[in-house]
Amino acid sequence: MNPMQPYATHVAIRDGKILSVGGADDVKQWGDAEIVDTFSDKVLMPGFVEGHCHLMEGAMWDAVYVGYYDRRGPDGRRWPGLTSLDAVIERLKAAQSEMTSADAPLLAWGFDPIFFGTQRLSVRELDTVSAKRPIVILHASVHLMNVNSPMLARAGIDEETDIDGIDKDESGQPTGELQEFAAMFPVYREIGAGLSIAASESTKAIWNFGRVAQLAGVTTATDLVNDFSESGNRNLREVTASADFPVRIVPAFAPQRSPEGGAQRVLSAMETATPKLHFGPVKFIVDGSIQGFTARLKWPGYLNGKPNGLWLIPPSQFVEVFTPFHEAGLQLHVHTNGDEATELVLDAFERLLTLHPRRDHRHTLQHCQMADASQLARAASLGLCINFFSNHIYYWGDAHYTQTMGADRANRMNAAESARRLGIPFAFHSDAPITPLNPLFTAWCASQRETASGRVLGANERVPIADALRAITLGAAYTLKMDHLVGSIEVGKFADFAVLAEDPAEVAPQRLKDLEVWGTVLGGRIFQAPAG
Amino acid sequence: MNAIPLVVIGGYLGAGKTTLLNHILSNAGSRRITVLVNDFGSINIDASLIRQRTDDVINLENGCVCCSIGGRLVEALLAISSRTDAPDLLIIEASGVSDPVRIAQIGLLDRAFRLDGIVVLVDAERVEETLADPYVGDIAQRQIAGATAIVLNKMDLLGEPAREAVKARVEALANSRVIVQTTHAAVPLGLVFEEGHPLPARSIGAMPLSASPTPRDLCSFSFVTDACLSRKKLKEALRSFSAKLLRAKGFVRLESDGALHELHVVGNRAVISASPARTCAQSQIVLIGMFDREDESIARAALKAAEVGA
Repeated sequence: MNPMQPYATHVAIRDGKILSVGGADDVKQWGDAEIVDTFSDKVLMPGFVEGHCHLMEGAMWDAVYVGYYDRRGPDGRRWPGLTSLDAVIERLKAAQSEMTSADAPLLAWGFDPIFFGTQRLSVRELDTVSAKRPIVILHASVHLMNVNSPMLARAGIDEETDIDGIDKDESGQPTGELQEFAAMFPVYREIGAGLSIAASESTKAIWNFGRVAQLAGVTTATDLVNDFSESGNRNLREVTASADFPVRIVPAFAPQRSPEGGAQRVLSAMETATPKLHFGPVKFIVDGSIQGFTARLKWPGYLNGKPNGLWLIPPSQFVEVFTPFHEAGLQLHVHTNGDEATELVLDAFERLLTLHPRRDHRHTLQHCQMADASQLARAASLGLCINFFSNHIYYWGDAHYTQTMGADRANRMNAAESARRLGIPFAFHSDAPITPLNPLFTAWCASQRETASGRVLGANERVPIADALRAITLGAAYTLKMDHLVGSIEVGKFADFAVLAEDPAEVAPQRLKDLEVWGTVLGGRIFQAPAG
Repeated sequence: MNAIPLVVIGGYLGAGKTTLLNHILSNAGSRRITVLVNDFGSINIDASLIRQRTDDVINLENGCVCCSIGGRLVEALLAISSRTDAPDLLIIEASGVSDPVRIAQIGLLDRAFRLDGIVVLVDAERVEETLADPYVGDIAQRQIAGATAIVLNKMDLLGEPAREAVKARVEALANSRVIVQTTHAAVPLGLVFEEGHPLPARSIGAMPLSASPTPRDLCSFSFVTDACLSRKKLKEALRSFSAKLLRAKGFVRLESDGALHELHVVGNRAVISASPARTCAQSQIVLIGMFDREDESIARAALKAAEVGA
C-alpha cells in the first residue's frame, strides 16, 4: 500500500515492528537476521483493518448460526448457509440433540426472513425442534426474533397480548415473531445476557471475536459501540495483553449509550492505550437502517411507501452534541444511513467546523449508504472521511432494488468510486455481526457490486481493485487515525500482515472474495488459520 | 411479584418534559419514584430536591431516584425489575425525537411493569412550527397520536384565539381526548399517579381527583355489577369511550370461566389477565378520565351492555 514501494521480497522485523522492507540485500544492512521462509510461496499484505464492526460478533458464536450465507466460526469451522426453512429446522434439531441440560434455552442467530419470500418461521416449525425447551432465534438485523411456544409461555405472551411487535396469525395466535425492543424484552429477561451488547464484554466473546477476525486476515478491528464499563475495560485489557490474542482492538466510545464522563472518558482511556488496545474514536448514531425502514430518507422516501424512519438524536441538537468531543480533539464517527440523515449531519459539520475550525479532524461518516453526488462533494470540501457499508450491495442489494429504494437509488448506493474521484479518504466495512467479517469479501463487493442474485448495482460505482485493497488496509487505518501505525508495510509500523495464498492484485477481480487467507502475522508473531 | 406502575413521558424538545418531572418529583409525597432518563446530556432537577448526585444518578431528599441511562434501557429495566425494593412508580422520560409508544409497550407486555400512561407534552407556542418542520414534523405527529394523555404546556404564552387553534390542531392529531392545559407543566397529579385508594370498595360516583383547579373534568367513577361480563363485549365497551379514558383498573368476572380476572386499561389498550383467587363475587372497575356527567352515563351504559344477558 506504500505507493513508493508497492512490492518487495523481504521484510525484516524487530521488536514487533517493521525494521526494513526491500530485497534480501537491503534488509541485511541491519545485520544478520534469522530467515523465516514460511511465506516464500505466499503473499504478504498489510494486515486488514476493519473500521466498523462489533465485538458482539464474538458473543454471537455462543449461539447456533442459522444465517442464509456461509460463515466461519471462531474455531475455523465453516457453517454452510441455510437456504431453506427446512435446513434451519434441521440445524436447530442437530444443535438441540447435542445439548446436555434438559431445559436450557437453545439460542440461534443470523436468521433473515427477507430471503424466504413470504415464507415465515413460526412456533409450529420451531416446536418440532422442541416443544419443551425454549428456543430463541435472533434475526440478522438484531431487531427481531423468532421463538417457540415454551419461550412464549415463559415470556407470558399469548393471544391476549395486544401490542405492536407481537406478530399474530389469522386466528389471533402469536406466530412467535417478536419485533423490536418491547416485544423482545421479556425474552431477554429469560435468557439473561445472551445475544446482547453487554454479552460482548466477556473475555470469551473477545477471544472469539479475535479468532473470527484472524481467519479473515484482520489484524486491527474496531468495536464501534463500546460501553467503556469497568468490567469491559478490564476484560479487554486482560485479553489483548495475551501474546496469543491475534488482533489490535479499537473500542469507540458511544455517548448515546453511556453518556457518563463525556470526552474526558476517552481522553483518560487514551492515556492507558497499549499497542493492542487503541482508543480515540467517538461514535454517534443519528438514524436507523434502510432494510429495517428506520433510516431517514429524503424525498421520495421508501419505494414501498413505508413512513420515514427514526432520528436517534434530534437534528437541531447535532452541533451541540458533537461540539464537546470535537473541541477535545477527538474523532467523530457518525452513523448516517439514509440520505436525509447524511444531509443534516453534513449541515452540522459545516456549522461545527465554521464555529470551531480544526485541521485534520478526520471525522468519518459511517455507512453513508445513500449519499448522492452533491452530498459527497460537500463531504469532500468539509474534509470528512467515509466508511461505506459495501457489504449491503451483496446482502440486501436485491431488497434495496425491489423494496426499499428502487433501481436508481440502489444503483448509486455506497458510492465509493464517486468518493475516490472526489479525493475523499474512504474505507469499507462489514458491521459484523450484521454481515460476516471478511475484508476481502467486502473489497469484492465494492469492486464488483454484485447482489446475491447476481444483479450488478451501478457498474459505474465499481472501485478499481488497487483502491479496494487500499480501502481495507491503509484507507481504514486513516479513518481511525492509525495510518502511522498500521495499514501498509513500511518501516516503523507494526509488523502486521495478512498472509494470502495468491496475490489479490493479480487474480481476476471476481475471485477476490474466494482468496484463501493462510493466516496473519501480528507484531511479528505468526497466527496460522485453521483450515476452512 | 407486583407489577411496577410505569408512566412514559414524551414530547419534542423544549415541550417541558423536565419541568413536568420536577413538578412530579416535588409532589411525590411518600411515593418512591424512580425516573429513567432515556437520553444523554445532563438532567436538570431542581437543586432544592437533590440530596446527592453523581454523573448519572441523582438521589433526592424524598427518596426518589433519577438516573440517566443513555441508550441502555434494556439493561436498566432488567436491573429495576430484579430489585427487591421496587419503586412505587417508574417514570421513563423518552428523548425528544423518540416515539414514547415504543417504550411504553414494555408496560403492556412484561409482567414486571404495568403501563399507567403515555403522557406527551406539547409546547403550545411552538407546536405549529415543530409540526411543519420537514425533518421532525412527522415524529412530533407520531408522539401526539400515541399519547394516552396530552399536556398542552406554556398556554400562558398564548392569547385566547391562539389557544383554541392549538387545541383544535392537537385534537385533530390525537387519539386521546385526555388533554390538559397547563403553564409550567403543572399538571393535576392524578394524571400521573393515583391519589386515592388503589381499588374500589364501592361505587363512589364522580368525584374530583385532585385539589388542583384544572382541569375540572378529570374525574373518576366506578362501575360495579353482579353479572358476568363478556370478554369481547367488555373490550368493545372500553374501546367505545377510550379516547376520554386515562386509565381503568379492577376485577371482572368473565362469562368464559366464571372466574375473576384482573383488568387494566390504558387509553385504548385493555389487558385482561388471570388473577389469583379473590373472594369478591362482584365485578368492579374504577375508571379515570375526562368524563362529564353525560360521558359518564354513556360509558356506564356501554359497560352495562357487556353484561351477559344484557
